[in-house]
Amino acid sequence: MADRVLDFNLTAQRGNFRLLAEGRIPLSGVTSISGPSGAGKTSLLRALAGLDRNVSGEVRLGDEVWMSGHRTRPVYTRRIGMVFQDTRLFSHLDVAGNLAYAARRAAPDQPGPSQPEIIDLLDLDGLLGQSVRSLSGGERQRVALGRALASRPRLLILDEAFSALDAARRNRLLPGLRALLDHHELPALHVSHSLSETAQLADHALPILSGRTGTLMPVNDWFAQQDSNAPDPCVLVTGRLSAHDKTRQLSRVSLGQAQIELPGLSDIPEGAPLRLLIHTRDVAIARTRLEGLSIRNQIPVRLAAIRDVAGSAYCDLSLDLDGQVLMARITRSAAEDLELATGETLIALIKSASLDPGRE
Amino acid sequence: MSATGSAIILTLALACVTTLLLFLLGTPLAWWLATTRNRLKPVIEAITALPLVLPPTVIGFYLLILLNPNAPIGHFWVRLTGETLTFSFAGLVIASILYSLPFMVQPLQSSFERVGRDQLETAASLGASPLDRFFSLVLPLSVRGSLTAGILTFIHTIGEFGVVLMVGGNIPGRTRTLSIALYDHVEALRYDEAHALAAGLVLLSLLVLSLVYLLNRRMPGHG
Repeated sequence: MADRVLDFNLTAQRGNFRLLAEGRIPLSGVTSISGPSGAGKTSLLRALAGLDRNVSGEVRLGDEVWMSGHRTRPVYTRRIGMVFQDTRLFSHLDVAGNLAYAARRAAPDQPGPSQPEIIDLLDLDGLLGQSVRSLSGGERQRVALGRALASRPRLLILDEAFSALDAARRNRLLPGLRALLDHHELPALHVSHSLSETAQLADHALPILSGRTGTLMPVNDWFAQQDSNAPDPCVLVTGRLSAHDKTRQLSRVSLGQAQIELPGLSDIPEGAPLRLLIHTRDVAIARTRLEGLSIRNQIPVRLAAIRDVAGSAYCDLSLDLDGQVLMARITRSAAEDLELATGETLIALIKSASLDPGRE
Repeated sequence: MSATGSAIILTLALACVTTLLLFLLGTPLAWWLATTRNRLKPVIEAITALPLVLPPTVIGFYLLILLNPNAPIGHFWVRLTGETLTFSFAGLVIASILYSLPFMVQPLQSSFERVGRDQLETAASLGASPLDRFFSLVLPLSVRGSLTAGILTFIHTIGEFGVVLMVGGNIPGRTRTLSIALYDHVEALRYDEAHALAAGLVLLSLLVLSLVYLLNRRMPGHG
């Protein structure tokens, strides 16, 4: 699947709004379509799924043609799992009925998550017999995602699919969903206003602005770009939650060989993969491990590159951490005093890291 | 069997057959009207609603012209069955179907429209074909509308008079329905029998309408 792409070049008209979209999205991992409200994120998802009229152009999934000119492949043969923000559960069926509706129509030869996997991931066991009318907004969204997964889609489309979940539930769910998507090699498109959601799920980002798509990029680059003008961009680092220390209210996270301890991760199950956002100014460097310092997280890294931040007193250090890139922003004069040379091993002092890029 | 008894049985048979056939014919028409973007939709809607405003005798008159053995349709029917369409049960069924059409199609159409595009496109994304969507989603969500349509059609057919008189005449056991029998009694000044029939029809209609309103209140509609 990794070599296949969702290839599109289309225009859509909706009232005065015009969408001009072009791109090649890899059919592996999760791609976030990102842009401000009204930029056309949902329009793009709907156009790709074939739900809207007044769309023309080309859409291909691998070598299967979904749209060519005005001729389109019917939506029900495309095998897309759509999760809408407003859930759209079928009110004449209970929760189990909604899941079964999708499962019955799944292509028999299509691999995908099993019913127990879905129920387990979304914690639906207690809801199965309930009428969908009795569910809370968050519960409805969980069922809607479960239903889409049960249809064993070839492409999952998540349009603000977690907006009604509370932060604790979302923090538990996203690593599990990410693992399930990886395990079943199920690609996904994702739209959300939550940067933390994008951080936890996405591999790539496709920017969209005023109805025009930009260039697909790795999500790390996108995060760096998000606030490249701000004094303090952040990078995304993938790790695994190894253990909770309940008495100290800290959680241990492995980043490659290294381990760091962080607060605020108690919702994440032990063993789950997670992605941390680390602001460049929360990383300092030293030549040796330091005693008598409040910063506890001190891990060895290799200095990969030094880059000046134009028009400022700072420079950015790219630090290699077992293949991942950590960034530290220090002053140029500090870099000169330390006589840094690329390739040498340093100690990165990480002051904080979190699931969410917002600074408290 | 008494004259009243045979009139009751004939009327119920006519109402049942008409309702059943109208479900078969009216459902696709209502679905088409609920979903089409065709420019002809207002015209078809108007034709469907025509029996609501036309005097029944007008419909009856044109049906008489169309169905009589000398007209193509009537002639074809005679060659097929050996019987005439006019002044027969089959003719009454055709007349009732036309006459009661809006009572079937309009509740169905508005109930189909309430299902909404959102639900339909969701079902499509889950792999449901158009026919599958209709049976698995639209019909279950339209139970209330279908019941209303069926009951209204049934009771409206029971009460029709003008069309029946024009097309069917007044043949005991063949075309003399309850309302015709009532007219007959009044003409003959048999007021006791007329009272019994009239009161019976009022009661039946009241019961059925109460049932419709009860259903509308009790049954879950659309979520």
